[in-house]
This record gives sequence, C-alpha cells and structure tokens, in this order.
Amino acid sequence: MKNYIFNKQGRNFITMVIASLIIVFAVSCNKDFLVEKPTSFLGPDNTFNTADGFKTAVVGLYAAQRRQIVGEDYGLFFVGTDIARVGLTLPKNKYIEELGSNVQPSDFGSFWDWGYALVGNANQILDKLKTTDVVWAAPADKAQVEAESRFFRAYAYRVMTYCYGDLPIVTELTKPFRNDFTRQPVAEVQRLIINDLKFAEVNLPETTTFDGKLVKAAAQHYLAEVYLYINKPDSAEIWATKVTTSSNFKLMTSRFGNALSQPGDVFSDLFKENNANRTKGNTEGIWVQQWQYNVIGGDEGGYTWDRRDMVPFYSLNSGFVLADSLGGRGIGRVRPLTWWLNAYESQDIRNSKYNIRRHWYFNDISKPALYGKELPITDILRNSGSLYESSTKFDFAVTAVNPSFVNSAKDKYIIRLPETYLLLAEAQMKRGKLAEAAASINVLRSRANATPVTAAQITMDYILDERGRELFGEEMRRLTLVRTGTFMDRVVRLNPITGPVFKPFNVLFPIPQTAIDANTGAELKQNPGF
Amino acid sequence: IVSVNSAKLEKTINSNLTKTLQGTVPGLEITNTSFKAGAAQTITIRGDNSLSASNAPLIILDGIPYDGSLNDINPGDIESVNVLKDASSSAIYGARSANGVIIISTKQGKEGKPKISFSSSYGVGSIANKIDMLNGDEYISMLQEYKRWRNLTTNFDPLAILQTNEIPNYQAGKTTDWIDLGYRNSMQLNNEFSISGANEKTSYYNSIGYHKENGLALGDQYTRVTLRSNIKHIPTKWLEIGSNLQFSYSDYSGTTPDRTALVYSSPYGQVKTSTGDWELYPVYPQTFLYSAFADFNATNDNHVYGGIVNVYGVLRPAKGLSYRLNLGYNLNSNYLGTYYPKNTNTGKGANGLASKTSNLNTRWTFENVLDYKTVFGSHTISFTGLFSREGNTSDQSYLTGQGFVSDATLYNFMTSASIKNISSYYTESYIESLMGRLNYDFGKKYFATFTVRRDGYSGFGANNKYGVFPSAAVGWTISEENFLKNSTSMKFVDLLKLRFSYGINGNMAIPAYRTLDSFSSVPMIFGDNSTTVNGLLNSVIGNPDLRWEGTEAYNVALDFGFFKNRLTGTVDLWKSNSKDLLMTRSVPVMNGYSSVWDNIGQVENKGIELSLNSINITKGDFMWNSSFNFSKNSDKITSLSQGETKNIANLWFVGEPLSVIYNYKQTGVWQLGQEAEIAASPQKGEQPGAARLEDVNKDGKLDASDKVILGSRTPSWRAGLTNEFKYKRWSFDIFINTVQGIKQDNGLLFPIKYGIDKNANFLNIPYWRPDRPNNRFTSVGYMNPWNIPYLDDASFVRIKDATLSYDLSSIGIIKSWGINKLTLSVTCRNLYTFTKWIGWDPETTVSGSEALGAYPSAREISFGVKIDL
Repeated sequence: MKNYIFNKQGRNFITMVIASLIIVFAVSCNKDFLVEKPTSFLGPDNTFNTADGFKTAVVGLYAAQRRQIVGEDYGLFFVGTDIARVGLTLPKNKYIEELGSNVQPSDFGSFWDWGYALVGNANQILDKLKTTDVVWAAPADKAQVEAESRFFRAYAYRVMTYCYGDLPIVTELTKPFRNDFTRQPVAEVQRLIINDLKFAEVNLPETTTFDGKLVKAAAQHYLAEVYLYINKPDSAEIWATKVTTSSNFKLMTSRFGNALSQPGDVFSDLFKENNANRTKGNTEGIWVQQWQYNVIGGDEGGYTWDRRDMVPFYSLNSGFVLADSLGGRGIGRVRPLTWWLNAYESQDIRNSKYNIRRHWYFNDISKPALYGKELPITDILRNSGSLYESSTKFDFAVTAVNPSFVNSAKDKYIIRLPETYLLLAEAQMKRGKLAEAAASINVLRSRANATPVTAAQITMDYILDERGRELFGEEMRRLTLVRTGTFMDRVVRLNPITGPVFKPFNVLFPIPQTAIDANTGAELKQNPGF
Repeated sequence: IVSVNSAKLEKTINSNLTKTLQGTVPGLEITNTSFKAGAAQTITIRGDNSLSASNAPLIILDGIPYDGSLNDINPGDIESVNVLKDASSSAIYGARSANGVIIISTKQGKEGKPKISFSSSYGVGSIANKIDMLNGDEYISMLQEYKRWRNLTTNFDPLAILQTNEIPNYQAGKTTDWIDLGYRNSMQLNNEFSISGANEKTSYYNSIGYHKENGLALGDQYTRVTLRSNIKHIPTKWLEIGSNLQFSYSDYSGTTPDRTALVYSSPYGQVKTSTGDWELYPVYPQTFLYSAFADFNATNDNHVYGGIVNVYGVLRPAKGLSYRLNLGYNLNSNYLGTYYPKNTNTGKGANGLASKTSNLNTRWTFENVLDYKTVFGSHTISFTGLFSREGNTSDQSYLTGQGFVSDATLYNFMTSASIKNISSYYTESYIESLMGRLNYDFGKKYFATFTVRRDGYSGFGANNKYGVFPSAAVGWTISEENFLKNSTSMKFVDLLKLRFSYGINGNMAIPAYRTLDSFSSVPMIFGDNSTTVNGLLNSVIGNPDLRWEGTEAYNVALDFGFFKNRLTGTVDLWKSNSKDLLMTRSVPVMNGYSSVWDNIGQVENKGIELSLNSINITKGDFMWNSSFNFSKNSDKITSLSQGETKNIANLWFVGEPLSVIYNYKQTGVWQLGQEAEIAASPQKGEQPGAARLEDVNKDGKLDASDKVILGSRTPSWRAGLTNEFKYKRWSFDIFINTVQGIKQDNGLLFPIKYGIDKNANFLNIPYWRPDRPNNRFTSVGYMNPWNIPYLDDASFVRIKDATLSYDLSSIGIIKSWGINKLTLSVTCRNLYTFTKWIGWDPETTVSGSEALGAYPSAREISFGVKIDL
C-alpha cells in the first residue's frame, strides 16, 4: 500500500472521487442535453408564428405551381390528343400516342404527385390559419393568404381531376400519415373547387403590381370553366362576363412591347420574351407564370419544357446550326397535327410567318453549298422530329450565350383573356345564344384579321377548333377535351396515330401505382382499362 | 479482436493506413472506389448492417472517437491497430459501434536515449491496365456498322460519316490517343521525421510528415503535411497526465480532364483550336459532346485542415482503482474554391462561374472512466464504469457567383459577380452514454465479461432518445486444462481457446433533426428581372417516434497455437441481425408528402473468418513465414416495412442481399436467321445483333414482371496471403489478395453510354457484326431500349505488394556513424491482377456509365530508406 496515498487520506480521496462521479452522473439526468434546438432551418413552429411567415409560405405555392411545367411529362398534355403527336420519339409520349400494352401506370403519375404536393402545402397553410393567432397588419391580408392558398388547392384538384377522374379529397395536411384514402366522385371534387374558387374570388385583389400574382379575374375564369364542366352554362356565362367586361383586361390590338423594331404583328408581340406581363403594357395576360433565365428564383430547378417540346430538332439536319432566329434549341418532342396547320385562313395573323414557321432555310455558314437555301419539309423529316411546321410562341433566345440550354425561361400565360372569351362563347352556345357566342369569338377573330364567324357556324367543334387556332400550346389541350367530353370523338377523327387505337377509357390517365401500393389501409381503385 | 502492430504496418511503403491494411485482416473490407490521388478507401467490418445509414466502422484514435479521414493520419505515427468485430468487445465504444470499431494507437516514446527516425520514399507508376480503344480505321468501320445496323444512311463514305472537326484530321491521317493525352506517370514522395524518448517519469513522441502524390490523371495531386506530439507524464505513482496532439493539412487541389470524355472522344477529334485553346467540341459543336479538356482551365482548390487535441489524466488512488478523465477536441475544416473561366465549357455560358464552400466540423468528447480490479486466489474481477458526453457541430457556407468582369480574380472577389447566391447550414447533435462492465477471470482458464450500456442521441424522438444495449462474452482456455497439459498425444497444442459472445449494439443511423418538420426555401420572382423573394415548401416531415437501430450479434471463435506456436490462428463464426433499421418509408402522396423516416426493416449477416499464421521454415539465417486470411459473409434482407416483400425503388428484396442487380435477363444475342423467332417474341421489331432477353413468365410480354435478380454487388468471399522470406540482411514480402463472387454492370460495354450516335469512340471488343456473330456483345447500333445491364464478373486475384528490403544496421561502419538502424527497401504495388473484367480496375465498383470514367489504378515502384539514430 506504500505505493499509493496512505490509507486514511486514500479513503477520503476515494470518497471524493466517487462523490464527484455521482455529481457527474447526476448531471446526466439533465434532460435538456439531448433536446434538439433548431436554429438553422424553418419549420411550421418558427414560420407560422408571424403574418410574414404565412406570406412566405404562400410564395412557396407559386413556386410549387410552376413545377407542373418542368419535366418531360408536360408533353403529355398535347401528344395523343386532337392537336399534336410525337415528333422525336420519347418512349412515354410514344406510349400515350400508340396506347399499346406499354402504358404503365407508373408513367403517368407526375401530375398526381405534383398536385397532391401542392394540395398538402396549401392545406398546411389553411390549417395553421385556423389554429394559430398571429397579428395581421390588415384583416384583408389574412383573407388574401387564405384566398391564394385555396385558389392553388382548387387549381391542383382541377388539373388532377381532368387527368385522373375521381380523387381522394384531402383538405388537411395529415400527420401522422394516413394510408386509407379512397377516391371520391368527380362531382365532389368539383364542389370543393367551386367553394375554394368562390372564396378566392371574393378575397383576391382586382389587380396587383406584382406580375404573376393571382387576381380576382383568375378565380372568375376558372369558375366559368368549372361551371361549364358541371354543365351550368348560365353560371359560367356570368363568371366569364365578369372577366370580359372588366376594365382591367382587354385584348391587345396593336403592336407593343420590346420587339417593335422587328417585323411582326400584335399576335407575335404577345409571345415575345418579357412581353407577357401587365407591367409591360400587356392587358391580355390574366395569370402569367413567371420565369427568368439565370436569375435566382427564375427557375424551378429546371425551366419550362415548352421550347424543348415544340421547336423541332432542326440541328440534326446537316446544314443547320442552333440559332435564336430559329427558336433556339428544341428537340421536337411535340408536333402539331396536319388539320391544325390547315385550319387557318391565309390572312389570319395567327397564321403569319411570324407565328408559324413553315419554311426552313439552311443557316450553317460553313456549308456554303447549302447556306440560305430552303430545306423542304417532307414526311420523313416530320416523322423524325427534326423538321416540321411549328409555332413560334415558344421560341426562346438564349442560344447565343448558352447553346446547349434546351429549356425555356420565357414567361408563360396560364390564363390569357382570349380563353375567357372562348369559355364565354361556349356558355352562350350551350344556352342557345348562338349570335352572342359568335360575337364573343369574333372579338378574337377580328383582332386576328380572320373572317367573322356566323351564328350558324357555332358548334362545340368550331369552338374547339378556334381554341386550337388561338391557344395552341398554351391551353393544356388534354384538359379541355376531358372537360368538354369531346376527347374520343375528336381524337378518332383528327389524330391518325392515336385515333384508330383509342378506347373510351383512354380519356383518363392511370393513377400512379406508387400511390396504390402505399395506400395499404384501403383500396385505391385504378382507373378502368389499366 | 485482430491486432496489427507497427512492425507489420511499416513493412511496405504506403501512403496511408487503409492501403496497408487492405486484405490483411479477415472481416475488414477495404475497397478502392477510386484510385485518385488521396482518395479515401471505403471500409466496412463484416458487411453492411444498415440500409440507409452509414456502414462505416467507428474509429477510435488514442481513445477518442475520430471523425476525420484515415488519410490524414501519418501512417508512420501508428503504433498499433486493433479491429473489434464482435458485439461484446466493441460494446465499450458504444453509441456507434454496431458497424465494428477500429482502434488506432499512436506511438509513445520508449525509455532510453532519444531516438531520431527518418524515413523517405519515392515512387513512380503508370496505368496498370490501359483499356484498348478502337483506332482510327476501326473507329470508322464501327461508325459504318452503327449506321448500317440502324439503317441511318446509304452513304458509307467516311467523309459523309465523319463530322466537321474530324474531317481535316482524317484527311491528314492524324489520330489522337485521348487516354495518353489525359494520363501521365504517377509519382509519390513521402518523408517522415520523428524524435522520441522517455525517462521514468516522462515520455514524448514528436513527428512531422510530408507526403506528395501526383495521380495518373493530368493535374491530379494530393499533398499532406502532418504534425504529431504525444506526451505522457507520471509525476507521482497515483497520477498520470498526458496529451496527444495532431495537426494535418491536406491539399486535394487540381483540375483534371473529364475521364469519361477521354474514353469516348473520337480518335479523329480535334484537340485544340487554331489559337491554341482547348477545342470544346472535338467532333462538332452541335453534338454537345464535350472535350475532356472543356473545363481543364478551371481552378479547383480544396484544402482540408484537421486538428486533434486530446488530454487525459489518470488517478490511481488505491491499488486496483483508477479514474480516468479524457477530454478530446476534434476539428476538421474544409475550404473549397472553384472557378470556371470564360474559355471553359462551364464558364462560357455563365461568363465566369465561381463557387466557394467552407465547412467547419467540430466534436468534443468528455469521458469519465472508473476502473477497479481485484485479485483473490485464482479469481480476478474487474469493473469498469463509464460516463461520457459528446457534442458535434457542422457548419457550412456555400457561395456561388457568375458573370465576372475578369477571370483574374478567380473565386476570391465574388463581390464583383453579377449574380450571387449564398446558402448556409448548421447542425449540432449530442450523444450521452453510461456504461458498466464486469470482467471475471478464473485461473486464466475461464473468462466472462458482461456489459450494459445506455446511449442517448439527440436526433431521436423525445421518448426514444435512449437505448439500452447489453452484451456478454465467455471464454475457456482449454489448453490451460490439465487434461490437455498432461496429455502426451496432444503435446503439440500450445494454445486452444474457445470464445463466445453475444450482444446488441446501437446505431444512430440518421442525421440530426429527422424527428422535426422542416421546410425548404424556394426562391421565386414576380415580374421580369424583379427581386427574388423566398417561399417555403414542405421538405422533411419529421417522425417523432424514431429510435435506435440495434444489431444483435453472436460470435463463436477458436484461437489456436500448435507446434510451439509455429502455427497459430483463429476461426470465427458469426451471425448478426440488425433490427429497427431506419429507412424512408413510402406513404401515400395524398398526405401531401410521400415518405417519412421510420424504424423498419431487418437485415441478417452471417459469416466465417479464418486467419492462419505459420512459420514454415527457420533454418540458420533463412526464415519463411506465411499468413493467410479468409472471410466469407452473406447478407440478406429479412424484413421490409409492413410485410412488404420488395421495394423496387430501392432494389430491396426480402431474402436477397442488400445490393443486387435486378433487371431483364439477357440470354444472348439475336443471330442472323432468327428473324422469324424475333418476330414471334416480345422483342418483335428488333433485329439480329440486339440483346436477346428472356420472357421469364412466358406471358408473351416483356414487362416489369420479367425482371429478375441477376447477381449481387457484394463479394461472396475475400482472402489474403502474405509470404515473408528472410535471409541474413535481406527480406522479401509478397502479398496477394482476392475478392470473389461479385458482379457489376460494365458500362464500358454499352455503345449507347459513349454517345456513338454523336460520333464517339468505342472499346475494342469483338462487337456483333454479321461477319462476326457472337452471343456476348451486341451490335454497336443496339440502343439498349430495355435498359439492361451488361454484367461482368468483377472478381479478381491481385499480386498487391511485393517488397524487398535490405537491413544495413549490423554493418560495422554504419554503427560507427551512430546509426542504430538503416534499411533500404523497394516495393512494387499492384504488380498484376488476374480478372475476367473488361475495363479499368475491377475494384472500382462504380457501375453503369460511370465505368467509362473510372479512375485507373497504377502499377507502382517505390524506393525507401529508413534511418534510426
């Protein structure tokens, strides 16, 4: 024992050590040590405790809505319908066009996933509005947050119900998660959409100084649409008329904007870059989705697929190089059907060379033998996706600085006033007011320098043709065909590839298998036919 | 427990510990996923236990958990390495020991006069296995065959097939070997210097190391400077204090050519423009097939600073009793800066693109250990109690800027960027542990250990922060029993020890904050060129019920020594079950989110390990030793969430290994004359030269239900064999290791991965042609519409290291200079690899398209000298 502290003191020492250990162990009971204190991220607790937090969350909904346009599936709104077919093959587009056994439910779920993510984020804001008291600068601020959230929820359900039919209706962010969802009839979904849009219509502002933000007319436009969908044309006419008679919106009738020095017409001006917004003098855009190249917040991780889909892959042809004057870099995924190309009168400005590119001239200076000559469009070229007649609405000029950039960052009309006129005409036609319907359509046709339509010519088909002429590539055509119940009839008559194989169930997409698989607590029924 | 000491570690010339350990310890799996200069090896012990979390073992450096890279430790400073594989032995290291523990101890001064050591080595290397690409003529005939097969043209004139930039080179007969252009000889230089010594009260060890490596790829380099100071002081019998300090600086800076592009670039491609800049598109601008050098002018700086401060004190107040306090602080900081000037592909569109990342990770450890040991009669009992806390922080900021006035400011003046983006992150997490261990030993014959620990982790839900993990081990030294000792027939037995252990260890498995909801910030604009405003969207939906993963493991081992310990070894049989695995579970997206973290899933691992050491011959001045190790383990998933039998998204299948290849089964290649058969098959419309796939369920369709498991990416067994020869002052070591039973998809065999449609080169393999039919390689025109993998066996046998050394220490004149030890050695690394794998090194397990750009391994020769004064 001599080697250690002598006995007595030693004992004291041991006592001391043990006592200090007890203290240390006692500290271990301090529960706070393992409590997480989030100081580096935002979550519901530190966001929905101020009015600003709510407003910030609503901005997220605008971003989430933009995501609908990002990705290859955007082309599915056009191919396999009555207006377009596949240009350059993309397997999924090809499937929906040919409707063979290769149509797998997993391929068409992106709008379901997109829609319910948007619904979930909107629901969370609406939940927290009810349960959290925060100080609002003005009561209208709170109402506007609710209005915007409910508008986006309605928008998501609108797209999803056109794509998939019956839907599980979810009006809150469910936590912990549920797995017993069942599909509710379309009529229930329509009721939710109407309720949300009506609240939004009351509480959204008439106009805004922030381009891209929602205004009252957007809610009125979709109310008109949904009332047509439930076959209440009288209500639809009232809502559409509110927009068309609004002093805030009117058609552009003369040239405007930042391309005045270039040859063109008013229709081509509408689709020039940075010409779509109200602050640029454009009174036609009711809801313009905002995109901007190389600006933080100008993209959604990706950009829109408009240009990629709509502009042919002309650079595949020797003698062509990518150029902004030809629309930039497209890869020709979506090609208009022949009837559409022939659906215009020659004097119709929507058919002018500024708006439809029907002739293609070699532009590779290093190939002097070809340079400047025309490459006539043949069926072989059309079928390859490398050259076809194409709309110039989606040209986007960034090729000079970034040739491989394949998307588009051009602002995108989600609602343009002419569509409201077309909804109005549809409502009027359904009420038998054919002369009024013709007058509504003639607002567009006279602006386009086309021969006025007569009341006798007004049919659903005519209206759909006119929608094609006016709104090609803007309206998500599939949704219009589902709403008007004309999908099967039009596709069979007008689409030579899809028509012969189209069956009634092909009107809807299959719902995603992942949603069915994960919903283990209840059966989520697949659409018939898949 | 497997121990490796410094004598063994220092034998071969190697720049880091893992390279030396690779293949030498059974159950310790070390893989090179890249052979880039300074690249870290991946390490696992006894396979993968976790599906989503890290499977890396816990590293304990001088008693304190170590977070940095093993690369940052100067291998010359290491005294010993212990690998703990079973549950009981690793239990005292607690919280993160489920994946096994590697304990590294650094050197201490030894009593005697101060020792000064210096060692230096220099080595050079070249690509061990350069892949064989098509030459100019073969390239053209390949493109012709491609166009013929796909019916893309009727004009097969090379001038019609080649693209704008290729034609002048073709006409001039000029070809480029891009691989030669992008690679060079590698170089390694290593210098270490240390001073150490000790008297009865104090010992010290100080060292400095410098390592520089040039990788095979142009511009690839790695530089490391390490400093270490270990001090131990025993002022009185009852007190010991000490410290271990380490500083390391690693420089990974350098811009290398794009390795994938080096492989696919056309032999007729244009390397440089007429002005001497790199040609961005060697073939034709419109193809967007970039040059390997398109970003070669970029600046890429990557600096890592690591510091460790450990101090400890031990009190020994009474016989058998000790109290130890460990305080550790670990700091790891990484600064990354990149700049793509305007003449690079990436910088061109952005008008100069810069980014800068700063990371600072810290960890503090506070550990109290109370030990008591008592001996009475043949009984030895010891008790250990531990209380520890640990805190981790991780701090990151990230800046990017584009649109610069001048390239000259690189990433250092981002103020001048026209578009700037910033982000920052910070996480902290805490661990708290309490442990008690009781050891009992009876007459060195019977051993027993019981351990219980309770670990808490801040990242778990409020009610589940703590987990309790018990373990036990028993041992029986049979050779100490009289019936063996006295038996004449068993006289050859020197050691026979049977061990059994059982235990549960915890795995935290998830990063911080997974129990909380969090948003992601999404930027948005309202108006053309307007100010960015931020929005929020759901990102993580927290699960407040998350708790510990637990791995329950059994181990039976037999240690033996025969024939005066000339043959020694260990056999281990083990099995483990990992439960409550933390995984993301898919939930219906109608909830507004599609996945949450949850404790689901079970994985089983079992295996056998053998290590044998034998002294084959000792005769006079000649000695021959061998050591051999073998390990085989098999893993399988035993459960997924809620009775799920497969999770296709993650390729998890109950009853199958964790990492499988799942796809259509290729049975060969369609041949000429089989056109009718093709038309009658689900592959209708395809042509001879296409892959022939099996309609597994014979329903006349090829769809998801025809996909099957084609193989495992996890090797089924590994082995290593070292032979050591000594003759007088010479010694020669040769080490062979092997990895067997592993399959990978070989992207190099996929024509489509190269971009052949855009005029890319292809590997020189006998691809299918009408005049060269075969059943293995498809036509170069085959675009792989079914996305099948081209599977190859990635097993290999490698002569890994051979070292010849000559010890001059005993030469009189050397001694007279005061030199205690002088050794010269030469090491050849990666001498030869036997494998069926076509492509770069089979060990680089990257798959798919990346296999094109896998970093090749070097065959190296190094010369070394070691001097002790």
